[in-house]
Amino acid sequence: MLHVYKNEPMSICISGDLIVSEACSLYTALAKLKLDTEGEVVVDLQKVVAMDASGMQILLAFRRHLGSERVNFHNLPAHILDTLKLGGMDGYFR
Amino acid sequence: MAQDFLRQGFVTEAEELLSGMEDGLLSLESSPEDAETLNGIFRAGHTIKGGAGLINVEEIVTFTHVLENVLDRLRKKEILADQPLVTLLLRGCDVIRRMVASVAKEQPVPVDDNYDRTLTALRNYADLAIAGAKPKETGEPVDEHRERVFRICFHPHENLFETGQDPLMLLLGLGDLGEMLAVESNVDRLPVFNELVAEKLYLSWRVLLRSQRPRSEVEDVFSFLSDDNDIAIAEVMNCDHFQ
Repeated sequence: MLHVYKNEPMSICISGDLIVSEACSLYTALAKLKLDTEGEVVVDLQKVVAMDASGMQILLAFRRHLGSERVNFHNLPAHILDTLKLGGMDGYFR
Repeated sequence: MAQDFLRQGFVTEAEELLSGMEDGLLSLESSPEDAETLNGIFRAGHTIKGGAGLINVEEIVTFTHVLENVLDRLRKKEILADQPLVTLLLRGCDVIRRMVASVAKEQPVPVDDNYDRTLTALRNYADLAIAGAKPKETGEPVDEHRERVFRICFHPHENLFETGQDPLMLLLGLGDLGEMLAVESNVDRLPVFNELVAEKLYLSWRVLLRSQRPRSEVEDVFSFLSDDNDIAIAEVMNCDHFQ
């Protein structure tokens, strides 16, 4: 089960499985978010259960969309960090 | 929670794959050299091993690794799927099925007398196969177990997910063969967010792998993929960079 919601005006919490079977849901949820201000955006990944390459590329494209310098991924669980390292993607999420 | 998710996924997939393996083995009794069947059985065993590795069930990894060696020799026609071997492989499937059932119940995996005897018998076939293997015609060095560094460039087709493949599982499969000296992802194909199709794959990878395994085992990691995936494997002398 995937959940994406704005916790605060500039904080997004994502929980659940960021995998290909949920990829459309994740993409749609992120596309619908209204982030009006131009400050830092925190994406909290603490409750992410699983992530595959589809989840990685959606989050990365979302970050670029908002402006890479604005978006920070926070609270990456250790097992997700391991998965990112396996895919050589950890550098994009630090 | 993540481990639960992975474990359940492994159990479901392994049960399906085992049923397919058993059907394939039974069909070998009438057509022992059917390449498609042999490849299918090998792929199933390989996938079960990869899944077991992902959830750290070492007993299943060890067992399926030996089983996979035998299946690999079978598909290379180094040994024949005669009745005793088919019976042994079916027994192997039964051993794996019981281990998978234990994983499903979150119980310790049974490593009993049947496990040991079956594994020993399978090892005998693997060893026989190695002893009887024909010289390779690919220019492979005689010393297959020397350490070497492979550079693997993996540009998957954008529809890879549709085939049920996960590129990270393939990278995990490479990791099983040795030490991943470097993994470099390439995101150049990633479109802007508004043009992204969520279920397409835009990433590609370059990997430096140090391994004592022969090149053929590196190639086997990608053997399930269709030809529209671009894979280049090269042995390199300099392991400091990708060039």
